[in-house]
Amino acid sequence: MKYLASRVGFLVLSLWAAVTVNFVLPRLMPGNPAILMLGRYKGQLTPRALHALKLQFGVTNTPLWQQYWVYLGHLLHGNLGLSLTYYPVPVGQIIAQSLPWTLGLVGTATIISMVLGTAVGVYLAWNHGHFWDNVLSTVAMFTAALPYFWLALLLLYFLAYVYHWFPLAHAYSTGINPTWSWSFAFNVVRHALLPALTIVISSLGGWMIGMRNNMIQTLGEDYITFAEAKGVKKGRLMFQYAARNAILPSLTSFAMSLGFVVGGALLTEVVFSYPGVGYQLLVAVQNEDYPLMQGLFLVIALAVLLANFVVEMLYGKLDPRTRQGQGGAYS
Amino acid sequence: MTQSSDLEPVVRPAIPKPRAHRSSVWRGFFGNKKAAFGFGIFAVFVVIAIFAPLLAPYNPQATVFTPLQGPSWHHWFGTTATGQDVLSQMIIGSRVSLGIGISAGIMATALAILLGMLPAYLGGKTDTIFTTITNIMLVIPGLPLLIVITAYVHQTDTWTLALVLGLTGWAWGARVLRSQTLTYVRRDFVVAARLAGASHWHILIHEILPNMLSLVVANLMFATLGAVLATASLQFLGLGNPNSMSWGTMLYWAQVGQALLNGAWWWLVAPGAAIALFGSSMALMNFGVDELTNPRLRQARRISKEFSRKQSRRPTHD
Amino acid sequence: MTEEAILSLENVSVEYDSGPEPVTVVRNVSLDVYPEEILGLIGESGSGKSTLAYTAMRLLKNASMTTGTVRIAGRDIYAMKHEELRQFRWAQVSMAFQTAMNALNPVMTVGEQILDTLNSHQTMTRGEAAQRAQELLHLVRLSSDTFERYPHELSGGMRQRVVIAISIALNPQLVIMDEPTTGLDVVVQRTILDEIVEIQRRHHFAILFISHDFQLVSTLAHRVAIMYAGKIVEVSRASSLHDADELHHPYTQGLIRAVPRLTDDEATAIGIPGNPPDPRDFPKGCAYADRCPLVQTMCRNTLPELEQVGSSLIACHVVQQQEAKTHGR
Repeated sequence: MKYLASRVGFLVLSLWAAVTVNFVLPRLMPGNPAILMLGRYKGQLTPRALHALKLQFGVTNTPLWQQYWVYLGHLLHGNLGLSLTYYPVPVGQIIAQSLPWTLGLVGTATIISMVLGTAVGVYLAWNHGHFWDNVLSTVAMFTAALPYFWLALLLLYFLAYVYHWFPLAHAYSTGINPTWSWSFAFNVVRHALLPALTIVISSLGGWMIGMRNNMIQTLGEDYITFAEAKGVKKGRLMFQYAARNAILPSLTSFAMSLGFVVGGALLTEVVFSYPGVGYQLLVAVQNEDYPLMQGLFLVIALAVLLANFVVEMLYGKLDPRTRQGQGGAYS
Repeated sequence: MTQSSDLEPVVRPAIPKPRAHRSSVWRGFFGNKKAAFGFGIFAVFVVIAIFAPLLAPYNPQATVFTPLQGPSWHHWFGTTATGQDVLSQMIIGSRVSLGIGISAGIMATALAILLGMLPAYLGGKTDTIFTTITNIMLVIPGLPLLIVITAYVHQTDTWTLALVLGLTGWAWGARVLRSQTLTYVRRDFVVAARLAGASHWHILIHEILPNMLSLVVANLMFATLGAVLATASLQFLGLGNPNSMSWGTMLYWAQVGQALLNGAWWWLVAPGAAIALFGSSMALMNFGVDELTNPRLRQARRISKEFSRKQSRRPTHD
Repeated sequence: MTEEAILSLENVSVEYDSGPEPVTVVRNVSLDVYPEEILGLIGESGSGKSTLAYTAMRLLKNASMTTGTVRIAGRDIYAMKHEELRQFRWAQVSMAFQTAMNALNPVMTVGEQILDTLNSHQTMTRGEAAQRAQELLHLVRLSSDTFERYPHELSGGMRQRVVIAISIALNPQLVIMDEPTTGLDVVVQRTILDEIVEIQRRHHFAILFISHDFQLVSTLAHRVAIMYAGKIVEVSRASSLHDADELHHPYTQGLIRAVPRLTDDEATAIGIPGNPPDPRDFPKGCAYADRCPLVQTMCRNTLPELEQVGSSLIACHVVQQQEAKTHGR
């Protein structure tokens, strides 16, 4: 319970931090950038919308703390303002349309990469110093240094543009209507394959090396030697004794590096014109659509923080030392 | 059961300082294949960046060649859509790319040392507060945050970009250095120094920091790698100054100039490969230092199947 | 002794090869352990005593046996296939690890870890295995609810008891105990040692008891082997170690003198000056020569081997000569 409370506490605290950063940033910048934006969009907005924008970005004489309260109040009601690029569509609506694509693509690809990388890491550690360990751990050094978007561009060029194995862009073919049908689902999966492959290739090495190193560390522990001595079979030794323990520090770094991975994955969307939050974020930035940009940043942060929370909960499940209150002698 | 019947050495050494001899650290670093290889790549890049104006075959800005030529003897990496030489751009661009990456890496590492070691050393509330801040910095998605910041700044110039990257990239290192500092704070040699009246700064800098040198170096590589990748991403999105010459802005112009639709893969491949290669050199050195500090990573496992009566002695290096 | 040894080490040498150059830590050691005896193996840290234990179990990591044979119940375990070894080893010879703190898997309950031991070797029904596990816990005086506990919920002494329970789970003929009470406080140490001896008497297994505590081992064991710088320098009956008239290796003499005599008015204990040699650079002759009060030229030139001296085996030129003289050879 204590563990759960501390994790919930951290979730709330980090959410508050993200929300506050979002509020403070435009006000902190030298020569409030919002004024420039307002100048650009002045003619196209209703006076009411213009006033709302001024409030949202601090171009007003209202005291700062009051602005902050209004901002928090709007957030609580899910009011993120109106997008300027897609004026007058509310930011919330754009997010609702793009988020499922991102969760589907980036979420699935990240989970695949994590699971696959961890499994390979276990195998490499078990065969530490052998052929595949040497080869793959060196290859991982190179894939870890690949910029996501660059790999995306290369794959796009060679696999989609030169050889027409994959579609060039978008989440589904233009000209077909989204329906709940097998043919549409197939179309969506076909479009998601190449971006997903990009994300998996670029992030796999990191998970793999992390798990490999933790697993090697764990294999040196006394309880592994003791278990081997007492005759535990290989499979059980490898998973129940070694991997079960090695995954714990890995999970912590998984949770911590999720933010990096998601950031890189969002750029993949840009290259494939995939209509998720990463692509919309670029659109917002290029059009100086600050309300949309703020909303997208919040939603990305929220998703990462929640994913992080889930991983922490999983950690709690896997490590009995975090479960307290069972009345053990020294608990 | 008296202590005197224990067989521990009768002559006890003075309080041990786990400080490795400096020259042996270097020998270890270059004795590690991965680290040495990584350093080799890194050194080549640094030399190229320093002598860039001498090495570049043409003026990188000059739009005097036939546009979109493929790689040839005259243009090893081809030309751009405006007829510039890609190789020359890469060589000159290495200066800004390496400059931002390395200076941001140094800044982030310096902050990590300060924000990781000091709270761990002082302990108590200070530590709790700083650890929480570090953890929050870690979980807030970095690249989206950078995108938002640079979008507000408008056409971030080179040094602003390095500054922003340095200020946002310290959290991971701080976390690692903090936990390492915690293991030293109660060691005998630190306690002894404190009892001898050494100041906090003296203890931190002269007693604790030297022991964490390899961690600091590993973090420097890691932070530089992160900064190089982040710079490239931001510049690719057009958030840096597109008129400065760097690998990231080359990719931006390649994208704007529709390099792929024109089949000009070389325009994209060359700068991207440079980023990947430089990043790999950092990753390799980072990994090598990891192996040095963690002996278990170096040793081949001999559990289960590998027992042999006659040992198959492995080569002494690696 | 006519009985067949359970554990028989013959000319065993072990090298660590993780450093820049291989380091020999065990040099040509031969040692037999017989049924139902307690054999004490004494040596200071770095003498190679723990390495010898791991070699006997074929559990070396980053090290390899370069010469010699290890037989358990007459069978060469280094000639076995992996699966054969897995099934054979623990049922014959088990080992209670030095660091009980780290010998248990932190993410599994005590019960699961005992059951794992049983199920890896025997086909038992779930009920039978659970019953046997409870029996074992009872044997080491742990309450039955320990079965559900995780290692971190137990005290050091309780964890050591769990480790002992696991090591006697399959009724082995020999249990190797590598400093089984290190890190525990003195009272707990004593209780656990008494329990070990009691269980040993009832279940008739042999113990190879490894320790750096000379006094403890000389009271607990039947026979004592003394190890110095990778070699066994003496094997004697434990009782002879209390008898000042018996011949001993000079190192053993030093150890005996280092035990405080409480019979005198004031406790006197004399340490042994000097340090053992660096294992990377063992001398050509006797490794103890630099610290030995009886040292002679031959000691520095030729390595003494174990020879029968009275009722003991002693590897010392000087003592061997003395013995030869008195018996007029």
